[in-house]
Amino acid sequence: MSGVNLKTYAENTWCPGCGNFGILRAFEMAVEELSSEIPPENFVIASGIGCHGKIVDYVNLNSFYSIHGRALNNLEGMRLINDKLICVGFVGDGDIYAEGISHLIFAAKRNANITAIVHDNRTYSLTTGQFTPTSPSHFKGKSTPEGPPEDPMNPILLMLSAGATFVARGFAGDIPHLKELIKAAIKHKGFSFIDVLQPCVTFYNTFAYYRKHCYRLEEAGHDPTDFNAAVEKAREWDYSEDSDDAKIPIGIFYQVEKPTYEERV
Amino acid sequence: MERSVIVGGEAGEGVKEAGNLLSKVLVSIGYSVFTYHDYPSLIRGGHNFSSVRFSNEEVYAPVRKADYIVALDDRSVKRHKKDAKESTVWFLDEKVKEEVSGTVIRLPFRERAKGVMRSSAVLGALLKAFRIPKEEGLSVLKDLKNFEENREIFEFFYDSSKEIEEIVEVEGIKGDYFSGSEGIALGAVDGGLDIYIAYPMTPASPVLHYLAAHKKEFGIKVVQPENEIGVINMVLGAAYAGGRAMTGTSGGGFALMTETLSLAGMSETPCVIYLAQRGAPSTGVPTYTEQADLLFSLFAGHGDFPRIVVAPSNALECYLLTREALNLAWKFQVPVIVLSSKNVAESFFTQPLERERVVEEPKLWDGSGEYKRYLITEDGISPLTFPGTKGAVVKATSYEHDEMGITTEDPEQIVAMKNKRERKRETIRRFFEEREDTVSVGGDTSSKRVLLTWGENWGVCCEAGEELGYKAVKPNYMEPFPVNRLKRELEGAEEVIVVELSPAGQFEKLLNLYGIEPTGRFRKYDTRPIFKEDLLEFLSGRER
Repeated sequence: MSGVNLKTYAENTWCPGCGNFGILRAFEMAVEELSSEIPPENFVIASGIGCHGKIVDYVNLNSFYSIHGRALNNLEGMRLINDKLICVGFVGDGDIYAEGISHLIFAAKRNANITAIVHDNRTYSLTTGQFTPTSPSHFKGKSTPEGPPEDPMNPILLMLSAGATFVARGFAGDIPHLKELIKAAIKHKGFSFIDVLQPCVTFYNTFAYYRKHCYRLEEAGHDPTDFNAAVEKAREWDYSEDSDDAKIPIGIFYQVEKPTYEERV
Repeated sequence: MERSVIVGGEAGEGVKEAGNLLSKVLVSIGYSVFTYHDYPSLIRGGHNFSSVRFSNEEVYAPVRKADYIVALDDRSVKRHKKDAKESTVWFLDEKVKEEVSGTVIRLPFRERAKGVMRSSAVLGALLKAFRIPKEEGLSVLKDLKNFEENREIFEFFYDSSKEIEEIVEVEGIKGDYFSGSEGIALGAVDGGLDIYIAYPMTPASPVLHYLAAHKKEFGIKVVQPENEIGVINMVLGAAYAGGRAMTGTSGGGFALMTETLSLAGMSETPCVIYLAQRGAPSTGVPTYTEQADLLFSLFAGHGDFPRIVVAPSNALECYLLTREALNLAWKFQVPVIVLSSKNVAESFFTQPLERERVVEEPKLWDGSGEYKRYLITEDGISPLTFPGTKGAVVKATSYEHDEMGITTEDPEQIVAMKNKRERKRETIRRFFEEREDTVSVGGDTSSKRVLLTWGENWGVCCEAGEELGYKAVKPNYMEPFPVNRLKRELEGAEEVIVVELSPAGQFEKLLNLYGIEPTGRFRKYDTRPIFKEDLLEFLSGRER
């Protein structure tokens, strides 16, 4: 442990037991473990708007607390000025899969050398429980009491087709595994994407379900350099299924090295 | 001595290029040239025309009537018959069927020259008519890609054309021939620009194109992201990291940026937005002009935050005000809008451009104690530092915040931070208060009759004012609005006529807001610029 002080004086206002705590802890551990390679002043974290966004107030690093859906563009702009900066965006599923979807797709398409960590709780929680792009069609939210009249999108498949060079899924309830994913994403040269399954204890508590159905890709012999295998694994769970035999892969789906946006501009 | 030339034809056959080539020759032999390019929103066909007005005295506005009209097709003849005088000399393509009266020179423009190379043909025909030596034309043509081919065409038409009158070399006006867009681009570079980030939109795109073509020479980056929302957020990220960043757009693109304009205000992130107005509302009239985004630019964005809006009227002002805009953005950590319009952006002016790099250092953190991004200060400006600085944690935010940049909902802290931003507004106001150059005065400066205008109408108001005895007055900064300086210029005025391009009279509304009550108004909103004849006719009509 390097003794990096990552705490701020901000009062944490997440609900007790919130999945966000797992992401915060995993990130703090990743930063600490990387501190011999990356001085803390070179980190910039950014966030959008939603419960997830509060994370930048809780971490004592350079930060840009952005607006809904736009945080990744802020980070891309920073990287075009200073390529020593390690840019990590914390974004929400409503935030980046709805409001900011074009920005996410283009960050992947460009292979901007930034990391996007999506707090995917599959509900708008700070606005008290509406459906998001990854809510299942049976999710009865406040704006859709009968469930949304549309099916969820699969962000893993979307990112694979958009050209992301690091595509992963984590689970906020598996902190050691998530920490390793975050470290790998930060060290990856190019656009890194982690969809983190993050249960919302108040509006959509999925802890028990994820614990039962998640399995680790690296333990299942998945080859992350194989794009077709990655697509196949991405299709294994469609964000709607909640049956007893669902299998939800977590870990790195795909990783490849390509020239980054900053290098090519 | 003043002349005006219209060149008309289809899009894609070198109309604009012909206007610019002729203008460059005229500037090189000492004339002041104002060139207006008129083109519809299409790529091939239609009707484009360029109007080249030149004089041995300074000219800054378009005129309707032409002494020479080059028509490459029948449509051009039909469209410009009304612009002819009795003495007008016509250059017609051989195939033109339309009849015109007066001197007519028929030449095989379309048969002998293809596409954009017809510009060299037109140049040859006109230079012969003006008895300007061939060499003057060749020295302008030599910069073209296909010089040899162009030279051949140019010489053929020079030799086939007829002498009409001698346009002699003159002394006196020594200027550079450049557009408002080029002024914006060069001003940005000399104001320390590091990166230009923009999504294409007429009439702002020429700045994007110019900077992209010269980015290596200027040592800057130029990128085109997915949309204007992505653009402005990348601008803010770049600025947060310490880079001088700027974007350019028109009304619709600026509308998309307004959410992030508030973010710039709240996070106090410096940025420069070049807003080139066009015919509006909505998609409007994309390649033509208007001044109906004035109030939008002043009030865009939710919430209270200080901003600066500068309004250049010609190419040199574009250069100077954009260079200043970059420095103002960083001095005060605010968004600065450079507000122009199509007829400033895409017209070419003859003005002396003395380039000089002016990059003022902003207020920076001295490295002592704990860094607070939003330190409460007397003048409302908190010292800057950037991520990557050892010992500093730089926290910028869209939320209301404390000095560290941590979110707050505490009423006292909220008021303290709002007061800080309002003190900054006052600091900015005081910065401009004593400056004489916040307002320009021209025309007949001793007159008690005033033409009060802004932006692209400046040239025409000065010229009409001089002829008919009106003083021309305009603010160069729309925010903070130089109200006291303006009122001094209006003191004792018997007539104050507001000249603007907005059907609702946005500029007049702004003047009313500051207690200035005009006595008359000239509003033009056919999305064409104010031609000199328009204003002369209006003012003469008032006198009758």
